[in-house]
Amino acid sequence: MSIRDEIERRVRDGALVAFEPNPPISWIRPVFLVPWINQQVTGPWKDRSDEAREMPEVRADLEHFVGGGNVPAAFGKRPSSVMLRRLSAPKRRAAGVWEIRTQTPRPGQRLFGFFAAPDVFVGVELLARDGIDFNAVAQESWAKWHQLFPGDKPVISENIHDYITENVVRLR
Amino acid sequence: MTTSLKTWSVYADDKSTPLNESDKSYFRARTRRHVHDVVLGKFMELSDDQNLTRAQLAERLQVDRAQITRWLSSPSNWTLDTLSDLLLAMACQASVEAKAIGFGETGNYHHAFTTSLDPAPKNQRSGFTSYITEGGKKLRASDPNEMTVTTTPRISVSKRR
Repeated sequence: MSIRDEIERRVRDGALVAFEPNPPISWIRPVFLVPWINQQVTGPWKDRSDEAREMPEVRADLEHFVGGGNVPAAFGKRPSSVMLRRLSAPKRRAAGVWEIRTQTPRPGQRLFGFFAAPDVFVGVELLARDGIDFNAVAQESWAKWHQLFPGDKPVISENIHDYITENVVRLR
Repeated sequence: MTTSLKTWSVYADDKSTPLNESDKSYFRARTRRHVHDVVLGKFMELSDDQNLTRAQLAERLQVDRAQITRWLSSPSNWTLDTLSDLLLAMACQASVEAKAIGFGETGNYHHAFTTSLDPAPKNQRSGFTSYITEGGKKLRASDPNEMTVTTTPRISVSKRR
């Protein structure tokens, strides 16, 4: 089965949810989320809670991504403030893990995941920025990927356009 | 008590319902992202067409190249002055337009990976318009009455005169 078939299967069995943008914009870069993350991002949230201020911003950033907006991206640690960053890969197996970064309100939120195919992001972990152990997150993310797609590999490349085909600028 | 974002039609048509912090956070983020998108897009265009570099912007604005990189990376620390400075360095200025949130701008492209998917399960839905796909590239709301779209205050870029 192709990775597309696998994603469809995982959506149908409830292991993944296709993130739905609020306004009906084009789905240039579909995002698939594990259900608890989709629930977290779309609400409802406890009234006057931190997440009631934080998650709408995550949602807005994901909609920008899905709608095909310009994305500043980086491989590795620098520059540190880009929207989309591939984790540093001291060990080769970390190379496929990306984070979509929502930076406000502080400390910000990080959605970790993989590109299942060009322009197709699968988010498996969502964490507040403070106190993240990136090596541990990379390992956990890989474990979740293998759980979702045993036998399939995400995109791993040194060419940014293998991940995002258009409207991306790789900053160094 | 819980809170969530309102339906699009409320944002578009209902001017009396109070807006909560979630509503405001969402639209602030949309606006920041949109403004940044315009400037980054202009930089990408000029980089392609005229080989404009971050070093050249830094030189014009008399700031470190690293500062230009930070600004192009994210809108999180921008002020309106940042917007003005970056556009000026690209021989542009901002033109701000406030548009009503409303109907009319719908996406009609659907990535191949989403063409055969049903919308999210009901318990995962956000309460917003749901989608049905047809023929690989069509996108429509399940309820035409909910076919609502917004535009944030739009900023376009124009050449300086």
